[in-house]
Amino acid sequence: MKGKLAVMLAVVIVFLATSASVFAHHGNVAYDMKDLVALKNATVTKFFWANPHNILTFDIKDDNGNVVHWVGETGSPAAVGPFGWTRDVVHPGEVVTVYIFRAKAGTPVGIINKIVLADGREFKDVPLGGTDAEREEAKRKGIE
Amino acid sequence: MRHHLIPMSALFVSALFISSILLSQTAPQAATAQGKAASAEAVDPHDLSGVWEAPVRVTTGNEISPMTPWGKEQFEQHKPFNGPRMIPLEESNDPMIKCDPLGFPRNLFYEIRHMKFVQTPSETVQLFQYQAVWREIWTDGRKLPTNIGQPGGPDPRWYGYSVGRWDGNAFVINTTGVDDRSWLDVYGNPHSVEMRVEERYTRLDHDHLKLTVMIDDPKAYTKPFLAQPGLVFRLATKGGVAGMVAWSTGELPEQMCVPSEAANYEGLVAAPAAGKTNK
Repeated sequence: MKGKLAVMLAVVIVFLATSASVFAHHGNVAYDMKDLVALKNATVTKFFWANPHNILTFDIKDDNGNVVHWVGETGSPAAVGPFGWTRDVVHPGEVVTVYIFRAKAGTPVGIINKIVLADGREFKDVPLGGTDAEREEAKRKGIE
Repeated sequence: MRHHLIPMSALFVSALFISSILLSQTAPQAATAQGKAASAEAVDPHDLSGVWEAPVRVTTGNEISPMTPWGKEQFEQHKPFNGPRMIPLEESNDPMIKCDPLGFPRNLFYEIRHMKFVQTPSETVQLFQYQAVWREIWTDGRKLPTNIGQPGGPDPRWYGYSVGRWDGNAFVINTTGVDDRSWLDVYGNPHSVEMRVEERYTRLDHDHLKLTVMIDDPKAYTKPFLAQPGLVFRLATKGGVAGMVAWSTGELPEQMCVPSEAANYEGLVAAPAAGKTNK
């Protein structure tokens, strides 16, 4: 019992010591993490399953009917794998909905929160593009 | 068509931290029935075998000592994309962006994920998932080299030179000679080649391994400090994760920083995210 208490205290210390780092996640400074945008009818052009981050490129028609080439990043394969992502989760030509935190610069770039496929399946990026609540839930489940 | 969703609410710092800590304490115990039984399983504390799992990021910053003038100069030159001084990745000079080695002991604080030990009578080899690197920790009684980086002395190395010994149930590793091109951590804290690092690994029970890391670097810091007061690794019970499948439980998944992939990322994402033209 004493040993287990020591272990649990150590776990508490770790989480206390590291909690700030979760909310100062690398790369997010360029993005507006308070404004989540849903981009519907996004046609996938490429999906790079790679380090440091996976990259999804897709086309969206703007309000004037012009095609805008978007780029969204997710966590690395190691980071999003536990959340169901694989190299085959999406393919060029597929039409999806992309939930994304957009770059502050106003360019068509962002951090992906999740994508929703045509068949309704959702793939969330909790480590990089997750909301604070989503990250806490993942921690409770011991995923991240 | 673009729809703006409800703006994100402010962070609930104290309540979330506390609740997550309370709930996360129960998660390891409730994980599996096998996990609970395994913790009670007898184990030789000198047996470090197994794939050990830790959070991705467990950074320093809590106990950093004041820096010397040399240390401050290095610190100011380091432009991190993490932490309180973070800037957009496109503007950062963090060496890991171009897939330079994380180096030691930074790889104990960042992208930890999984590691394992292979113990032999004369050395212990530590293997890391990130970048598939290893360290040789000599336990044959040899002394650490001296004059590293000096004329006639051995070259600094990204993962230094290490010797190990047992102090009761703690495996103690002393390291020096780390190439000072690496950063101490994601915040851009520096270190010199003269830095001496002492790790202590203690197997708490069958499923848990505790690590402490002490830094002694008089060239960069005014006094030694405990960079890691107690990181607890958990024995991994699954064979890798989806998307990075290990062949079997007991194997480290491969995770490489590939320069061509890093360059692709910089051109497609990092530069335009910072408002710069796609390359």
